[in-house]
Amino acid sequence: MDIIKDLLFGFSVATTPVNLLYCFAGVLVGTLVGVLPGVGPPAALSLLLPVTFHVPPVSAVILLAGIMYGAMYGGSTTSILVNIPGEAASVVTCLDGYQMARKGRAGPALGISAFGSFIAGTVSVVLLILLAPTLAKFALRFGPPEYFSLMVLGLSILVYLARGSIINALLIVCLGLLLGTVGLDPMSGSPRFIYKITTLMDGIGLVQVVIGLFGISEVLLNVETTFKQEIFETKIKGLLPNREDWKRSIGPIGRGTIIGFFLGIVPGMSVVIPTFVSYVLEKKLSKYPEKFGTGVIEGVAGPESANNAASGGTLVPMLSLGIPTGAATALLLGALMIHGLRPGPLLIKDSPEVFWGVVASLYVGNVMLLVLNLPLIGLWVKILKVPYHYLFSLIVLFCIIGSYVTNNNPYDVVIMGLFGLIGYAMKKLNYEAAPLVLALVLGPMMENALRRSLVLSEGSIGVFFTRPISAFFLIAGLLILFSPLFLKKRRLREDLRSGGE
Amino acid sequence: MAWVKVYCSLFWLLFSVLTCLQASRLDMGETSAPGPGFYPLTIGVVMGILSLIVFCQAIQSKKPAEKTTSTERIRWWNIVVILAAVTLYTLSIGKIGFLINTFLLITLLLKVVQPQSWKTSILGGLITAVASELVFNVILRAQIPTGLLGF
Repeated sequence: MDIIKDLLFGFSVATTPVNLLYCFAGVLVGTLVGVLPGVGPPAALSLLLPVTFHVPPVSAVILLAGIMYGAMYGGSTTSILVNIPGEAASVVTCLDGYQMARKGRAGPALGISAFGSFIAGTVSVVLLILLAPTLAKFALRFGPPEYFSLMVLGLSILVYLARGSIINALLIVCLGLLLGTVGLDPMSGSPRFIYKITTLMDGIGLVQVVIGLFGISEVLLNVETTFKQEIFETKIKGLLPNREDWKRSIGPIGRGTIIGFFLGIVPGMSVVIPTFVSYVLEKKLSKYPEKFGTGVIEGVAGPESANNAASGGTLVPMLSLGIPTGAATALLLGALMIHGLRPGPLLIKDSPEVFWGVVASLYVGNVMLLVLNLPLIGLWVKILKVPYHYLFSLIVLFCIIGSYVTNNNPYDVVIMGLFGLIGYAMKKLNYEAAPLVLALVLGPMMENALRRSLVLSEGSIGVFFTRPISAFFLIAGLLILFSPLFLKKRRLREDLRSGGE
Repeated sequence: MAWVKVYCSLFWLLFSVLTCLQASRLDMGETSAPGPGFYPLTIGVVMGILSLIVFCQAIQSKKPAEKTTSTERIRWWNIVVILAAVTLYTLSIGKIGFLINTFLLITLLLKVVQPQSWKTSILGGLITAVASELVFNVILRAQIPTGLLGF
């Protein structure tokens, strides 16, 4: 009964006119971000983060969370209509969604994607309500060793699933952890790697790093060659899926929702992997697996439900443990901290209006997206037709403004430009950026937990193995990291990533 | 031998050596009370080991260097222009101001990166500058410097 009371309280927070406005703005910007290739949710969150400084914390998080799950809706539109995934979580949707559009079934593809996302979003809110408070209570038993081991587990999963070599991903994680040490030492207050540059005193800003790595680097990559903008002209009619479509989609939607939510909870999985897993599963369960990739509705319904459910899932560890699972949740965590909130087991108790308000807003936002998105599909397609030379100029300008207004410091923009160049080089050399961002966020927390654990145990690293929860996380993390030595890792990893293309 | 991998591993090795050198200048503390240098030094050592593994893998690799499939010439000039424009914009924003700087930036990008006519570039720059001044400085009160115009 307490949960229902808390949820009603959450709805009373989320449905105030101001919060409804922020929720609406968030899902609208999120959808736009999902539609536009090259601007993913992390970059959009970074750009809008400074805007939320003058806003109450709960409204700020409602706005930013709206961008995160709104992008999942927007991404599917471009995947289906133009075969361009607006962001990584919609890559799989291209396989069958675009083929459906080519066969004149763009309407049902868009429809089932929106309804599937709505169902998944609704179920994930319920699961979030049931799971997050329980996990938060459990997490009160966590001490520094447990936190350290949990973060090692998260980074191990991310490294394992990263594109390309595991060692390269580990190097990137090390770079991220190292960047996290720049600034004042959190325990002694002595400066580290500052080199008399005052801008670095507070450390390297997450916003600047993310905008550089995801925003500027994408622009650089696109302008190095002639950008081809191909829009497949199709008439969209009959957005409501028919009885047969529903019959074939309801199973994939259910399975995608469960897979998405529970994989989304695992640190490092983020929203991309669940979509691939869902697609592979649907293909394996199908009576006609050979037809996947030619325009079957199950190939759209499953992954699209999975990515939306995963958005809800990623919020569980972020809100209840204070541990982000990917770049987008890392920024959300940053936003909570900027507003003076302490994400973690005590958030629900200390700031119930934020926790329950945000949870309720997820449902409100999902309703808004369902009502808004189908009628606005024509508008999104028109936006995609805006020539890239206008788009990239605006993206560059927004990147500059986003990094500048965080501290009104011009050198922050220089740092952003530098990370744009680093991100560009990383993309050229096939290094993934997400592990760097997560390591940068987790780095200071990990160092703190490691050093406090060593102080607690008087210098014995056995503390990580003698405490059962910590031992479980650490051994699981190490097993994942070293499993390629024992298993045929490439096949398993490629299966997960390629989704059986 | 995969030369790109060799160069990358050497870069990482150099980076890890520099990290270890810089970290060793900080207080290491003891294992029961680690100092500020302990954690970065540990990371530096791990990076060094990883880069050596990559180096060994690269020199033992019999796979020829991968050829890029794209025949299109890379336009380095565009990358240089964008990075230079971002730097100049930033360093001059305090003096010149948001409105003029934004106009110059957008006009330059439209004219140089994927060349448009002067009319399109100037018009694009003007509309973007005025619109962003309205959105960021007037509506969102982002307090970006007004510079020369001073309003």
